[in-house]
Amino acid sequence: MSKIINTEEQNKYVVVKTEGYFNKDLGELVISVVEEKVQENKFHFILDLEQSKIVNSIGASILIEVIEILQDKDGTLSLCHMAPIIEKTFSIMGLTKYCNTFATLDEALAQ
Amino acid sequence: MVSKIISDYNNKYSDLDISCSFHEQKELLKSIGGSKYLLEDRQIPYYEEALTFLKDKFDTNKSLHIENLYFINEINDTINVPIFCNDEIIGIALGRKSKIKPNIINNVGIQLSRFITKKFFTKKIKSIESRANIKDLEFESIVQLTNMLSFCDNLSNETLEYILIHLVSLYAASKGMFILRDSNTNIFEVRATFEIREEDMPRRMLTDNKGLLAELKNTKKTFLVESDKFNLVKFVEHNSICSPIYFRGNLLGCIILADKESRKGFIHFSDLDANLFDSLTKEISLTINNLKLIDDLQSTNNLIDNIMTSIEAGIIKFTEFGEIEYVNKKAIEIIGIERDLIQNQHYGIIFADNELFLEVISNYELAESDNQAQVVKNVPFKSFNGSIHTLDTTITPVYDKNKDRSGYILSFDDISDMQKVKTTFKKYVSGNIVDEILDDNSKSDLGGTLSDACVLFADIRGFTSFSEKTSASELVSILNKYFTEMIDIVYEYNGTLDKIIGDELMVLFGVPNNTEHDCQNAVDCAITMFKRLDEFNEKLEKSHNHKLKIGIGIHYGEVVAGNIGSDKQMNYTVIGDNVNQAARFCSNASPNEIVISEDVYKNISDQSLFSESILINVKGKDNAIPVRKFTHFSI
Repeated sequence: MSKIINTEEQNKYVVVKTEGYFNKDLGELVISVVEEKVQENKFHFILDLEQSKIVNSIGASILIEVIEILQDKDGTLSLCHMAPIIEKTFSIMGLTKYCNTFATLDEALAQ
Repeated sequence: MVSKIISDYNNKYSDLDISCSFHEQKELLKSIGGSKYLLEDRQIPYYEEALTFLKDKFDTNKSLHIENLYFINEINDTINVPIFCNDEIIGIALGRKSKIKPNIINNVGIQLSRFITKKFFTKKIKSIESRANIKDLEFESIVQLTNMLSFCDNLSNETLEYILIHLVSLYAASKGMFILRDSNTNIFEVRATFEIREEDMPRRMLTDNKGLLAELKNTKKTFLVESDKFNLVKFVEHNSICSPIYFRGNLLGCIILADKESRKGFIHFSDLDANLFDSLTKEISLTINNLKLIDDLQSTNNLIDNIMTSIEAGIIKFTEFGEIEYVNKKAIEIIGIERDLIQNQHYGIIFADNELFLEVISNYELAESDNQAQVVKNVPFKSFNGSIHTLDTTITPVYDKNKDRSGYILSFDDISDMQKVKTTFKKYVSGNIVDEILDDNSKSDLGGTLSDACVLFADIRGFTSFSEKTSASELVSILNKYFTEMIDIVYEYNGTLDKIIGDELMVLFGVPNNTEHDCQNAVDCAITMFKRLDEFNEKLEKSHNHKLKIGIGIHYGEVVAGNIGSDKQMNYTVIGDNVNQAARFCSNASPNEIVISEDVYKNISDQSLFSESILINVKGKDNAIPVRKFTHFSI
């Protein structure tokens, strides 16, 4: 089943690691974590998709909402460990124009 | 932003108490993208009065929400202008009639209308863009799926899972199941699932006699299924879409996608989804069928390959255009290069260095001889690794289902070993006998048959005295050279060397194979022996100061020809009175003389070479026998 397997703060980033199908359920879990952390004035997020190999359009739409929330706060969303099919989906949805993508978490943290 | 516009005016023109209201918060939210500009503070005095006033004003029962309530104290002292969005009045801007000039409240209305309309279109464009992106995504997924299917070369569970995941993602479904029929048992098996719990997996054996699979078998169409209709789809929480995979009317399996997601929750699969899914599963059906056919073809090929490999003959299948389509293991061994370098090449290239072998194929190709197998024996062949072979070839045409010639098959036996055996064998036994035995196994059995044969004996005269004067090794050397010359002549005239008895040769003509010229061949052979002996003697005289002289006797008559001896050792020979008589004639012949019987004489063409008939006495015969003689005059 889809879930968030870890949320932790590293440097200025909140790193959210997901597992499974990135669909509406998982998207909503992510957006609620983001909203919660924004309340705590955390505006820079890294989404680690190593364990999520497939996404649907609803999951991608929710990530667009996440980006909007963070842009209002001058925050950022970075993505790492994207499977090729996810990268292609995000690219088609226009999502990768508004967030940084990295091959690994270390690269994302070092940005 | 709406609040800012209004507060800017209120700050600029103090005490104007400009306010605005909108028909519905939902309307505004939809128009400008989910903002929280509106105030809905029921603690503000005169709130209800204001609402009533505005409702009357717009003659609407829609709920109204008020941005500012400065005017509320004197509710009748208001001036208002409409707020437009995309040519529709969606609200109203209000100001205190006693304080505000009409052009100011007009400007407020215009500015708010422009702002909201701009927001409305921006949001609408964004929404269209988002929908276009989703369609783009769907299109891309279909392209990817189609590409994947076209490169798909097996039906493993991983492959099916990959297809299923793509479909789940494409339709924003939550779960999926891929069921395929086992071709051996005809039972349907769940081959791939997505997000389905173990407890929701089907427990019963799946057949197409009842339930969802039966319905798919009957309808052969994609349809939408509610969760409670079939046991098989009990994992479905809302609704699902099922599509059959079938080939030539037979249900091979199905794909089920369940619980379509939207941003607002689960929604039903649409008819458009069903149509698209139907097309995609047809594509998947085609791929699965192709893969099944490839599997079947592969199995057939393996079977053929196994059969071909077990065959000891080399087999090459050519297309009608002369390209090598198939080559078996034995053929590869003989040709001497790898299969990949042979297959799909034209035979003219591969066999360019083997002229006769090439001729066998090209002659057949050019002759276009339908239905006829063509056999060509003893074809020399040089392999790519340099080894030399002798091949017996058979080439036959191949026809397609329309009975049109689609190529030909060349089979060839490597008889190189047989040739070696023959060559060696012929050193010990006459070539004719070797061929006879090898061509017909029964010829190697003990026993004999009555045949007419011409028997020739050739004996060296004075050999005993010569042997006394010559060393044994020299004697053997001279004899070997003499016999080599004589035996070559025997073969030239199709004679069969029966045996060498000391310095005497016994030669047969007419057995095992008889011809019309057996007597003539025997006589010609004898005369040639004398001529060749003259040449031989020239050398011998130089080396040993000696000349060999021979006498020859020939008789023609009925003999018993066959294998005489035991199972372990036998000789092909002839026996009978006529054989003895030929030997007696030889004994009677002087050096350089041929003695032939009347029976031989009658069967030769150039009789003038022989003397008149004379009578001679021979051992074992009471009566004198008429013979004729030929005398050779040495050079």
